[in-house]
Amino acid sequence: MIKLQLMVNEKTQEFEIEPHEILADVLKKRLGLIGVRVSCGEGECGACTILLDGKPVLACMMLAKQAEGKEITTIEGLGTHDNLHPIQEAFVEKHGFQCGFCTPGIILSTKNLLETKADSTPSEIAMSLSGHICRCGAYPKIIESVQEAANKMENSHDEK
Amino acid sequence: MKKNNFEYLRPLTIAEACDMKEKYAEKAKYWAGGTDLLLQWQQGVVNLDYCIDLTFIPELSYIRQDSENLSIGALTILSSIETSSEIDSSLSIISEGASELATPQIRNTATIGGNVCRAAPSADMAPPLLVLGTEVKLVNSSGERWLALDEFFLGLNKTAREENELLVEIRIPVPSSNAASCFLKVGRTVVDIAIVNMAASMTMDDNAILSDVRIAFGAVAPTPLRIKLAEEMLLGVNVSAIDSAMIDKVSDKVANEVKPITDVRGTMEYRREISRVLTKRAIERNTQALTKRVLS
Repeated sequence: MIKLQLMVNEKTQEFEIEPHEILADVLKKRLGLIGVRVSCGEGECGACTILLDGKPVLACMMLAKQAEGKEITTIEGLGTHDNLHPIQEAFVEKHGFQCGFCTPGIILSTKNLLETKADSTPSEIAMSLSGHICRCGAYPKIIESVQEAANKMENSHDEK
Repeated sequence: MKKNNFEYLRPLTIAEACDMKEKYAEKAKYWAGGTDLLLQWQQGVVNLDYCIDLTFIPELSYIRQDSENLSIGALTILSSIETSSEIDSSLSIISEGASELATPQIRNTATIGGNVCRAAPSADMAPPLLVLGTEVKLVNSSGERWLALDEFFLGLNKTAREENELLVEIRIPVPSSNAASCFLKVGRTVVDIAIVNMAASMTMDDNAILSDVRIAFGAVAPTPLRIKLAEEMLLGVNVSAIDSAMIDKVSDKVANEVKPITDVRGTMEYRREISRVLTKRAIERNTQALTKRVLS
């Protein structure tokens, strides 16, 4: 067993892990962050997407040790039931999901997209979400939700 | 089929990494992004007792461009290459290759050194790097050497990198202003592994005569490779003399020279045909770009 120190959703966490443990397992099984979804487990589906220093990566495709010293954000770090993040609100309002299994990852990728290019076109949105598979096929609604999220975030920015 | 547990090592410098590798030799593996190696280990294809994680070596991650070369540290993630403002527009096929590799999430983890050292036949970085005359720097605890990428790929997942060597830098010479290049990829979807990928670069002299031609293909042989017999057909040709008959001949040559296999992504016949079509498109596109420069 070796020591692992992670910064998850702005909190420092310490663990004893096996060196080969992957980031997704540590987040999900040890911290109970069930928003980290593991579906294919081999880098194809995007369900386990988290943000590492703000950039989307696959938590199933890296050792937990590789994430040390970086800021990890999971869907649990965005909003709460009573106080949703504007992206989450947009997905609810525009029905940007059906079963919801792929949604946490998609919302996190959306956060990175809107931070880097808020005025993305539908095709740019689609490209930036190309690493996510939605088995329900909610893609058109997902793209609408991202556009709505962009509006919401721009408005809240204006109000400030 | 989980394999045995391994020990985790974290060097902070290149020298430290080389010493660790020297000590544990083939029992240890260098771990770059790990997107491929992790899977291989999980599937029991690769055995390792020591994982030397290169993630925390800052001197391996950089993109530097000067008037002569573009130098990229081996641990640079592909998304940095995709979005870098450092890279000269004459080298845009490097960024294009990076931007078409897998998904945004993978590109935020996978490294250029990992893509090259894995030596997959379909590696998207390989064709652009091959046509631009890339060299790679290999180091071990006793020294370093430079090797042309042309001589690096030896076979399926096999390279000229010795067991104790670490690939630390990829150096690409800046093309002359009389050069044009393009990168083309055909895959099932934008995120899929290439069915066929290729790059072509054409350089002309002051009289518009082609003085250097390079055509490289991926996913049509055990390694990414240049099709030299096709390249030679264009050498010494005036740009204005490149017509559709000549392009067809070169494309036919490529289709004859590639040695594709049939697999889940495409049949041998399909890959051969796509190789022909991509050659045609690439030569047309480069010829157009060069013709514009002759006229201006």
